Amino acid sequence: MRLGLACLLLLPSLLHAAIPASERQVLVNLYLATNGGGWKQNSNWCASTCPASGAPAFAAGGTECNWYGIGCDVLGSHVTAIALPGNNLIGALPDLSPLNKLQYFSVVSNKLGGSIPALSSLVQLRVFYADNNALTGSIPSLAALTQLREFSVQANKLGGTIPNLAGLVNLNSFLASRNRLTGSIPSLSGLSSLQDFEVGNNLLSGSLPAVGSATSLLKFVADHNEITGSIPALSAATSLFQISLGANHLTGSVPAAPASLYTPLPWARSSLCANPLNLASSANDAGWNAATGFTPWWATPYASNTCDDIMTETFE
Amino acid sequence: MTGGRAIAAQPSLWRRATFLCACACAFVAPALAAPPAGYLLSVGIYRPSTNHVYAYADAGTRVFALEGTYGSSGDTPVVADFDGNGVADLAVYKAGSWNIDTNQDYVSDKVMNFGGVAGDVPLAADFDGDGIADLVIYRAGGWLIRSSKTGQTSQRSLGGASGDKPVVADFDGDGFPDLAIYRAGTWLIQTHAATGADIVDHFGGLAHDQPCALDWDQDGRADLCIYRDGIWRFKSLAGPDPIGSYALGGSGDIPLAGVFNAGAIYVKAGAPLPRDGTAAHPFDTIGKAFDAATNGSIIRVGPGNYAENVVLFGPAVQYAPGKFGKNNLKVLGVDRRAVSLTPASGDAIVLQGSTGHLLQGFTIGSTTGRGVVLIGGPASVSPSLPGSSITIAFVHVAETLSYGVLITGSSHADIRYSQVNRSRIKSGVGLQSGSPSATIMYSEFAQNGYTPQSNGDGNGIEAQQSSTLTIVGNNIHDNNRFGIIGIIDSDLDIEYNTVAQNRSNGIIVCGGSANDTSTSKTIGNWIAGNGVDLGNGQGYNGLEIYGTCLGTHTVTGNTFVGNSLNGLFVGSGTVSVTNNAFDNNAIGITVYADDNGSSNTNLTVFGSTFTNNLRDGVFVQRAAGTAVRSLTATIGGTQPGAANAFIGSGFHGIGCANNTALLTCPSGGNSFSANNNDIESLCPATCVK
Repeated sequence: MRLGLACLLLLPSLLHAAIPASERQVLVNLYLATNGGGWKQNSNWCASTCPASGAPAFAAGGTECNWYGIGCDVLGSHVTAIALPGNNLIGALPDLSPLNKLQYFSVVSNKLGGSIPALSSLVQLRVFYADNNALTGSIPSLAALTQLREFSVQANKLGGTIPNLAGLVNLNSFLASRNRLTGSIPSLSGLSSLQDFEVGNNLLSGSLPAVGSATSLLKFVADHNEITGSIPALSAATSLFQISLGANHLTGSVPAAPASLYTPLPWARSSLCANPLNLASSANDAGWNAATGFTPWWATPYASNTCDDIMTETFE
Repeated sequence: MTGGRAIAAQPSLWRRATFLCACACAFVAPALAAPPAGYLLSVGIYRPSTNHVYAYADAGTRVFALEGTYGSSGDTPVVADFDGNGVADLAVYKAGSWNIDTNQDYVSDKVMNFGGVAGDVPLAADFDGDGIADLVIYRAGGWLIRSSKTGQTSQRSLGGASGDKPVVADFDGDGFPDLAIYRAGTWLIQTHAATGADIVDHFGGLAHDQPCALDWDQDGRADLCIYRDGIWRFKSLAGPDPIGSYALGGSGDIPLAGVFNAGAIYVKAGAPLPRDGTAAHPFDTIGKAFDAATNGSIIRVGPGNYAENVVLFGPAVQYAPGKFGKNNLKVLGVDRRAVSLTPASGDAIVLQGSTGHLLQGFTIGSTTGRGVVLIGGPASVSPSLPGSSITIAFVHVAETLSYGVLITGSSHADIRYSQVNRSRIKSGVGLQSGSPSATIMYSEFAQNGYTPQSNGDGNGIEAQQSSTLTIVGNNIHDNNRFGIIGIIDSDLDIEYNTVAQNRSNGIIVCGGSANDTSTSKTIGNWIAGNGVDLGNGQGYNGLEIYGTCLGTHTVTGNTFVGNSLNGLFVGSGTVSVTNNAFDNNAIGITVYADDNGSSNTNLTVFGSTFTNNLRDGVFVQRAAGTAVRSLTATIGGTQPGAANAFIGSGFHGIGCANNTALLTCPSGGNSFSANNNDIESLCPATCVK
C-alpha cells in the first residue's frame, strides 16, 4: 500500500495500465467455466448487463481491476486477489497458472466441482480458500508456494494424500478437515509459522507427526481418522491451546498436557476420546481434566474409556 | 492479505517518509519496533450461549478484567468507553435498547435507545471527539451516528450488501474513527472519502471468521483482525502479512476489543466533591492523582482542560511533608482531542528524577513555558537526582513559548506517534546539558520557532552536548531554522524520515564549536525543499556536515530533492555517501575544505545518481590559500555498484574550483549523460570519465 501510493503520486501515467492478456484470459475462463451469468454478483465483468447464460461481451481491457471480486496491484498491472466467496460459482476452476502475482484466492461456499488446478506457478500466493464446495481429486503440490500463509479446503470431497509441506516456512494455517484424504499426516518439522493445522474427519492413517516442537502451534485437529500409534510428547508445544485427537486408534500412554491447553479454564475444548489409550499408565492428569472438561478426563462420565469426544465438544 | 488498488488519499503524517521514499529510494523501511512497554492491550470474548464475558486486563499477562454474566439471550455486545473515563464499558444491545455497564459489575448503569429496526447492527466509537463513545447503528449499508456531545444523529454511507459486517476503528491513525465493512474476506474501508471506500484489502474469509479491529502493533492505527474459532489474527493495512496472532475463546464466541483494565486512579476536570480518585468520584486535577499514586499506578484522565503545572517527582524527592515521588506511572488521557493540559503559566509537565512514565492522549501547551521537561543527572539543574525518563505517545504538544519537549542531564524520552509543533521561539524537541538521549519515531515536528521568524531559532529537533538521538519515520517540516541539528559531540541516527521545507538546512551536524566529535548516520530519508529562506542570497542545504566535524558520517539511501543550495554539503570529517539520489538541487553535493575546518575532509561517493541539478552534480572546492587542511574525495569506481550517474547537470557533472583537491574519479567509474559539461576542466587530472 505504501509503495503503491508513492508510485501513484510519482507515476500518474501508469494509472491506466492493463493487466496482461494472459491474466485477463484466466478471468474470462473463470467466468465461463463457473456460470458467471448466474453469479450473485458480476458487476463490471460485462460490457453491459451480463446475460444469464452464455458468453457475454466482456468489459474492455483495462477495466479488469474493477470487476467484482477482483483486486489488483496498485498500478493495476496484475491481478493480486480473486475474492468470490458465496457467489454461486457452478462448475470447475480453470487453469490459474498465468496469475503469477496472485496473493489472495477465495471461492469459499460455492458449488465448484472438479479438481483444484495446479498452483505451483502462483509463487506469490498467500491465501487459498476453497472451503464448502464439492471439489474432488487431490490437493495439488504446494511445494513452490513459499509465500503461502493460509490454505483451506475444508468440507470438500478431496482424496489422495496431504502434500508435502516441507519448506513452507510461512505457512500459518492448513485446514483440510471433512474430506476423504488418505495416507499419513506429513511431517510438520520446520514449519515454524504453523499455528493452525486441522485435518479432522478424513481417512488418514499412520502415526501422528511430532508436534511437540512446534512452538507456534495453537491448534492441532486430527479427530475422526484412522490414525494409529501413540500421542507424541507435547510438553514443548507451549502455545498449544487445542488438540483434538478423538475417534482414532491411538495407543500408548498420554503425555503430559502443556499448560497452554487448560489456562484459563473457559476454553476447555480438547478431546482425546475415544482411543484405546493405556489408561493405566496415564495419570489422572489435572491438565487433561481441565483441557477436556472432564474429571477424570478418561473416565467420568464415560467409564471404560468409551468417552465420546462429541460430548466433549458439546461441553464447550 | 493483499492491498487493493483503491488507496487512501492521505497517509498519516508519520508515514509520509516511507510513502515518499518508496519509489525513489529502493529502500524498504524497517519493520515497526516493538510496542513501547507499558501499553495496556486488552482482548475479550462474549459467549452468547451463556451471556458470559471474559476479557483480559492485559493480553500479555492474561489476567481477567471481566469475567461474569451480562445480558440475556439475543443480546449483541458492544464495547466502547461510554462514560469517558478511559476504560471500555460493556453494553448489550437488543431491539434498539442499549444497556450499558460502566463500572464492570455486570449490572446495567445506563439505558439508551437508538436503532431498533430489524437487522440493525450496533457499534460505538468517539466520532465527535469528546472522549465519550457515540452510538452507531449500521442499517443496510448506512451508518447512523448519534453524537454524545449534541445528541444529534448524522448519517454516513459506505455502501453495503446483504451479509456485510460493519466495523468501526481508527485505521489511519488520525484520531478519528473510520468506517469499514467486511465482506467475506474483503475489507472496504472509508478513511477520507465522503462516500464509498478508499481502501480495499483482503484478510480472512472463511465461514466462521468474524471481523474485528485492534491496534495490535501499537502504532496508532487499528489493524485488521480476524477471529476464527478462538484464534485471533492481526494484519496491518500497510503490509501483506499477518503481524500477530493470539488464542482466546472458542467457536461461536464474539470477539471484543478495548481497554478493560479498570484498576486506575481517575481524574476528570471539574469533578464535584467528594473526590477520592475512584471512577465514581474522580479527582479534579492530575496533581491530586499523583499524590494518591504509588509506583506503577495508572492515572486515567477524562475529557476537559487542566490548567495546572504537573510535576512528576521521583522517589528521591520529598515534595511535601510525608510525600515522596514515584516512578512508572501511566498517565493516560482518554483522547488527545478531548484532554488538554495548559497551565496558566510555566511548564506543563516537569519530571524531576522520575523514571519509567508513560504519557498518552493529551494536548499540551504553555503560553509562557515549555511543554514537557525532563530533569535529572549530571549537568542538569538537579544533578543529584537520577535522569528522568518517559514515553510520550499520541500526544499533541503545540503552542508552547519555549521547547515543546526539553530533555536534560542524563534523561531519556521515547516519543512516538505524537506531534510537537509550533513552539513560538524554540525547538520542538531539545536535548542539552549533560548526555541526554531520545528515541523519536513516527511523529511530526513542524513550524517550531514560528514567531517571530527573525529570532533565528526554532528547529524541529535539536541535540547538543553529548546527546544520543535516534530519529525514525518522522515528518519534520516547515521549521524556522533547521529540521534537525546535532552538535557538540552528539550521536545521531536519522532513518526514514521526511525532512522538508525547513527555512534553513534540513539537517545539520556539527557547528557548535571546533573539534566536534559528533557522528551521524543518515539513511533512507526524503530530504526535500529545504532552504526556504533565501535571505542569504544562496539558500541552504538538505544535509550539511559542517566544517568543525572530526567524526565519521554515513549517508546512505537518501533522496535529496529541490533543496535551495546543496543536497549535501560536506565541510569536514570522514563521510561515506552511498546509493543516494540527488535531484533538482542547486548542487547535488559540495565537498569543501579550508583552514578554518577542524579536520581534513574525506569523502567517498558511490552508487548515487545526480539528476537535473541546476549547477553541478558534485562540486569540489579546496578553498584558495588553504595550506593545512586537505580535501580527499573519491567519486565512483569500477567495482559493482560503485559507479555514480550524472544526468542533466546544468553546469558540470563534476565541477571543481581548482585542482588542489586530491580528487579521484576512476576511468569508467561514473556515467555521464546530458550534462552541460561532464567534468570541469579545473578538476585535477586524476578525475576522468
